[in-house]
Amino acid sequence: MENEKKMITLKSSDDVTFEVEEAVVLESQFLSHLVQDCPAPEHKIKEVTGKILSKVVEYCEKHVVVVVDGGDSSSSSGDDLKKWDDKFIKEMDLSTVYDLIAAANYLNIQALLDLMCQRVADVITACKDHKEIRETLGIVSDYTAEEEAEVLKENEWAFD
Amino acid sequence: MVLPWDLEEEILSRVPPLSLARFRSVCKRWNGLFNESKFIKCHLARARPQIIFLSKSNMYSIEINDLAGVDPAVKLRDLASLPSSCEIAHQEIDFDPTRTIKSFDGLLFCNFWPPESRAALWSPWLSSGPPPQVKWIEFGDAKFHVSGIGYDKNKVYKMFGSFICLRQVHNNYHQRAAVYHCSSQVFKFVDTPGEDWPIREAHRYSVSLNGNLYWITSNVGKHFIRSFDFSKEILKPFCLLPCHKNDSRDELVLEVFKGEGFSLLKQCYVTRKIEIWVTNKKIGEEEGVVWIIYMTLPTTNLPSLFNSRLSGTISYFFYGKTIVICCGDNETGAACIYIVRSDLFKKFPIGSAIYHSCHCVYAPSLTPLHMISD
Repeated sequence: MENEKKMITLKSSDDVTFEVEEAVVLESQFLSHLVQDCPAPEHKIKEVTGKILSKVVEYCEKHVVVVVDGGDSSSSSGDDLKKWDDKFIKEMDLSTVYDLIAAANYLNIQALLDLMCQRVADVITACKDHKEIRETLGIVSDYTAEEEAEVLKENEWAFD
Repeated sequence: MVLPWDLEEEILSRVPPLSLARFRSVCKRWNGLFNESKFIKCHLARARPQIIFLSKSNMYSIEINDLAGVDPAVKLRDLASLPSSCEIAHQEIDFDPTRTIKSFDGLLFCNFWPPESRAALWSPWLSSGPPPQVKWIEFGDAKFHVSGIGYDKNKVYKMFGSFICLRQVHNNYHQRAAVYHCSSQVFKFVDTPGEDWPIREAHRYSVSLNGNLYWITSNVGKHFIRSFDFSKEILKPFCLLPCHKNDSRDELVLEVFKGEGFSLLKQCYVTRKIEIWVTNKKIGEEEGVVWIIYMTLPTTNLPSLFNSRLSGTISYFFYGKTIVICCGDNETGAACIYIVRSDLFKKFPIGSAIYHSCHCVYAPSLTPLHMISD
């Protein structure tokens, strides 16, 4: 007989609640420990907003390890998951990605952290120079004009 | 939009070396990453492998874009445009088939004997310095055939290789293994099993892991990994292989897996089926090795690696369930990149007629060449 699935409620910093299966929560190391140590029906996550937590929940629900009886997971499910991940990140603006990186780090969800960091890394790699990087990521330079010119000259070879 | 610095480093550790060099001018912190050994190690561990390809007159890096995707593509870069690599790329190489290029702890290593009695170690993706990112190791008059570089427990750098000696009594040639201490420039002979050519496979096929060298060899039909331990300066059997040759033309190729273990590719000569095995944990000091099967490819589109051996080296790596093999085409002998997984087979010729090439798998890294001191 199938056991009834245990449900857990997560509450964001701005009091948005999400009811999820326990297996979903276990994707996060942080939440697994929290649920084990403190068996309350509801857990408040002060560091994550409702907007971001909904994305985290969406990701974890999709990535819950499905154990199929007597079979190993087929490669097509891996491909499907990759396609889903691609679509998931494509729709997101950079500020959401940043918030998700912070949330994935806090909640300790390694696969989500990897996915999001790789996304930003790809954006960075696609930039043509330091100006585009600063503009895209909102970084303020701490170089003087002379210092910047010097570093640029030393690394001239790295520009295509 | 601000992330804590440790998370920014998480992101930057996934950016390739050339882009990081281009973006040193973004701010001082990004520039300083090149001097942070913790970041450099983390970056190396995450690096996506590429193939470094050396031909008679050029040196290329071969990257695969969209490797896990539906349409992977090959990107060739001429390394002569990089400051620290151009010195090597511009060497007029008399292309001896025994030429080898190998990756070593985030660096590249190439021997130039014969005809030149020297070898080079360099960091291909760094600027030329100071400090210099190319180190030449000269063996003077000694005709030392280098198999690889390594280090002992005290991080003293040494090279392992051989001399070809004439045996007066029998008037025939045999191989004597030797180790070279880089700092004192002294050679020492190494005791070997009673074979005439005890390390013939080490030269072309050895890989470097944790400072030691490993290669596949066989004895009375049994295939195993032999290693040279740079701390004890001895040759020793390391472990048995998880599979054996059913046909003498079955091919076994050893590579380093994820920077801490081994992978073994076996191709059946008759069916051309490929099996990939990996070790399940970090290769440590004296512990036993457990091999697990990682994937099998039943495809018969692949070239015969046994025949490819005749035209040069075989290098491979995999990413998820996609395998990338660099080897010679069976008909023409010209080098090709094959990208294969269960639902995909792609072949990219590298130039139209590059024969006698040598290549290796390399994780592009920011590792500086500070390790070998004069």
